[in-house]
Amino acid sequence: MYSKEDFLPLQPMRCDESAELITRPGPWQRLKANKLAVLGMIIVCIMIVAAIIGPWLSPYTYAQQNLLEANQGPSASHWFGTDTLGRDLYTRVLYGARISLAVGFVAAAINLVIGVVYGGVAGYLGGRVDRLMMSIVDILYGIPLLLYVILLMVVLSPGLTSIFIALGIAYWLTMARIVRSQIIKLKEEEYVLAARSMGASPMTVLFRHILPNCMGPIIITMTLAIPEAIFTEAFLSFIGLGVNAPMASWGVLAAEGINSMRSYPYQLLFPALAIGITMLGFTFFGDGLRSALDPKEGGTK
Amino acid sequence: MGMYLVKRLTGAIVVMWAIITITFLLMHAIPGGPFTEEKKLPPQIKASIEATYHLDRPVWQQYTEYMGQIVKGDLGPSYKYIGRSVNDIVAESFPVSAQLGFGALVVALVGGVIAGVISALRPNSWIDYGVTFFSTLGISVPTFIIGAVLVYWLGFVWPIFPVALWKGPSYMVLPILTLAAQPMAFIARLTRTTMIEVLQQEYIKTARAKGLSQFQIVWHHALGNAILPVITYIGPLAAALFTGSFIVETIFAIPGLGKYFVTSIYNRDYTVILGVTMFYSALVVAFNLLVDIVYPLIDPRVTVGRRRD
Amino acid sequence: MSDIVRVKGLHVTFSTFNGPVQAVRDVSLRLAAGEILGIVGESGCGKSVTVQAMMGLWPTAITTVEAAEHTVLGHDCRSFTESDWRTLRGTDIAMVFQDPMTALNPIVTIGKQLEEVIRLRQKRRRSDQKGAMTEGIAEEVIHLLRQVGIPEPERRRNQYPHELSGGMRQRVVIAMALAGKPKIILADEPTTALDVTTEAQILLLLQKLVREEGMGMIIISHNLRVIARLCDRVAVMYAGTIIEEGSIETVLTSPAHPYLQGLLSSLPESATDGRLTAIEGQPPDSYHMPTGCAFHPRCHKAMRICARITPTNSNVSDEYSKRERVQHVREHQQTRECPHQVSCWLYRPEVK
Repeated sequence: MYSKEDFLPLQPMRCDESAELITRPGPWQRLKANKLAVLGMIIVCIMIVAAIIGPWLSPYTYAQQNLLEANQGPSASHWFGTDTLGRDLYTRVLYGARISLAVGFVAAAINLVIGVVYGGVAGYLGGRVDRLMMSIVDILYGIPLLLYVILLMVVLSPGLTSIFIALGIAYWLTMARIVRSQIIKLKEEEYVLAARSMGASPMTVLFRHILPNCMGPIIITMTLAIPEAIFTEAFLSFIGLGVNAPMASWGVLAAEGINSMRSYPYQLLFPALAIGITMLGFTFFGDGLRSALDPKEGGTK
Repeated sequence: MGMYLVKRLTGAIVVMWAIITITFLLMHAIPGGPFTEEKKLPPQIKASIEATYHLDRPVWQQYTEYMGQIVKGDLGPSYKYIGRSVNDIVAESFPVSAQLGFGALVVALVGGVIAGVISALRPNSWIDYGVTFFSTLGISVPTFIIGAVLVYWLGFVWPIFPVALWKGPSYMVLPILTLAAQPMAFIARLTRTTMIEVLQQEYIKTARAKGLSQFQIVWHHALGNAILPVITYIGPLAAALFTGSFIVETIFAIPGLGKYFVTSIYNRDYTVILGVTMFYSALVVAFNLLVDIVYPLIDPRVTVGRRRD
Repeated sequence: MSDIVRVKGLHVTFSTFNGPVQAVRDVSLRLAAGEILGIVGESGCGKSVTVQAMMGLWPTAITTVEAAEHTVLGHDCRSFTESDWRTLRGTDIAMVFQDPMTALNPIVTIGKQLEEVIRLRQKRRRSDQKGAMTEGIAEEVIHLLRQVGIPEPERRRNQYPHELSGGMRQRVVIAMALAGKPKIILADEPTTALDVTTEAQILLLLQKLVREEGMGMIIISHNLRVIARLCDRVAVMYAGTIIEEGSIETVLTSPAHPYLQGLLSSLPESATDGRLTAIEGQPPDSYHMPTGCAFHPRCHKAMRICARITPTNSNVSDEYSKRERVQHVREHQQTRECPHQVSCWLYRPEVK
């Protein structure tokens, strides 16, 4: 059963110890393993591509009316049918994607800039400045901001630029809070203290050591801010404060669709599907991102 | 507690002051003043109208007058419905909105928490997938589309419920469902996540090691901890329900405050827009205050005034 | 049949993101009434996993628990469902958890958390009560709190966990385990979170209560001093399996396994020439367990076979364990075998 050799001393070979390092899955692997997150990412990408190149592939324009072909159901010449003015719905939905996605990304970008600067300054300076800046944020938090977006839209008169401005300056509060709390947390981390004690300049500390480590929460907040902005724009369109005709966002198209829903339900169906699928995409992607970046929610314990 | 209340009330007053000031500034940022659209008005009449509404006075004087007026609870006259004040409009239509909002609040909270708890207790079961599917759908579709779909199926295809006006319980079903759908989906997701997290806590293991039944563990130990985030969500929820009601009341032709608000946006009836904004802001501030006061009663770790992050 | 707990060939496997992890491999343990068994080992060696598996606390969704034998108070637990376990937990087998900061529900008063167990016990034992139970629940809560040394129990019972210090909370956790008057207590590092003074108090308290009530206790620790002070028997775990087991005196005075020898000589007090020694290397990564004996990559006495085949148990020395047995019998007035066993190729008869 055993040979004599078995009981000779073992050669000291420890090579396998270093070779087989523990491979814990990084955020990117965790994200890739999450099928829904990948699906969400694909949906968002398809929507972006469709919004950019889609309208060129259509023989119609978003404003081209043809009253003879009004209210036609989906067909080979009009994939999504036509609206009450005979405009091609397929073209209009793709154009709507441009506007809705642009609103989402631009508003989120404005939020990002304001939020990161504001939260970064408050968190990095700390002390009295921080307290003052954050009590302003607290006050604004107590205000139902959507109402003020509506007021702003009334004041600014409807239009795409007004929407960018109104959404951009209203919803940076969450971003500011998150950036601030991250920075305050990271400021106390050992490696930041170490960098500082080795004489790194404040700028180096902020940009090399602190901000890159805030990226997770910032990205997560962005994936929430984009669909939020698209939603708000749809809401504004519904109460008549959207982009100007004949331009149309998904919200405008859906609002128009509701008016003719009883006779021509497809006129609501396609814009509604476009909003719903895009939102689903962002939700899946955001959820996946959150559990990938936050090991606490990682699922495997 | 007394000190805390004073502090919170002061905070609320500061918020209200900020709201009034922002509102005032926005009103004055309207290019040319609120009566510019009535182009054909002869100059004397325009001047007399502006005198009636004190628009001819210096801005700081208007501001102090406006403040004084608001403090007394007077939201001013309507510019479009001559002879009616914003207060009349609110008094007349808010009760309807309150019924709708309260109904939706209850449905959203009860439905959302129950759905979230059930799906957290059976993760990856068909019921969990069902809840996750519907709640993800719920937060992905705008309220007005949910409303339209409900109207289409339950109002026209199978005419079970009336789809317009506000005349009795059966009229309330579709609007309340529509308004509650999105917050309910959100609460279900929130409850599910926190409940799953809570169920992994050591004290749940302790409770199991004590030999408690599943019901006792969920009811006495898990639920209380799991709904804490839901309670902090009640403030934003109130705000969401108000704005949601603009849409729901418009779709279902309900004579509530939200419908007036949307109509006044179309009409550019500025005092009504401002008055309603102010009124709803005050309500949201009040809700937040209420939540902050109630929260420490449920979470003993929070000594009044310090909310746990 | 004086064993109140018997486990043979216990395997616990977790399914994780990176595939299955065998946290516990082929562990066999037994516990007699009135006995205190210690389990030592470094963090992550599977001590906690073992005892939690002993009372069925692992959720079946991500964990597989298998055993050739698993008896608690005569019940065969191998096919127990959650509700079967529930009938034993609290009143027959109870656990003292490791971290008093997280083991108590933060939003329920400690009095209420104790009451639950008392009520449960009263409900279950209603049949065999002989009218002697006249004590009200509130009085019993106060009595329990006093028993574990909490001052002002009348006031304390209405407090929430965050209002108590770590030591106090650990006492509450112990009171909670005692409240069901169980026959077996599993204590999972009950003093790790505490400072040294409190640690000593709590350990003495546990020992006293267990002796008084005639309970059996398994206590986990990574601290050899704690084990030496408290236990009758000790089992040493490394990388998910028990490598050495025996009476506390034997195991600590004449350790057999190279790992335990290394561990003992790394204690500051055993450093004879004033220099500390340490075991080289790291405990194995549970995703890549070494073949054969899990300790062989760090063992300076390793032979070729150690890397190939996992050693089975062998008695260290027959003579020695016979003497041991006599001694043990004399001490405890019990006829119990307490062989000193080790799983290491060095002690296999084939080697000699």
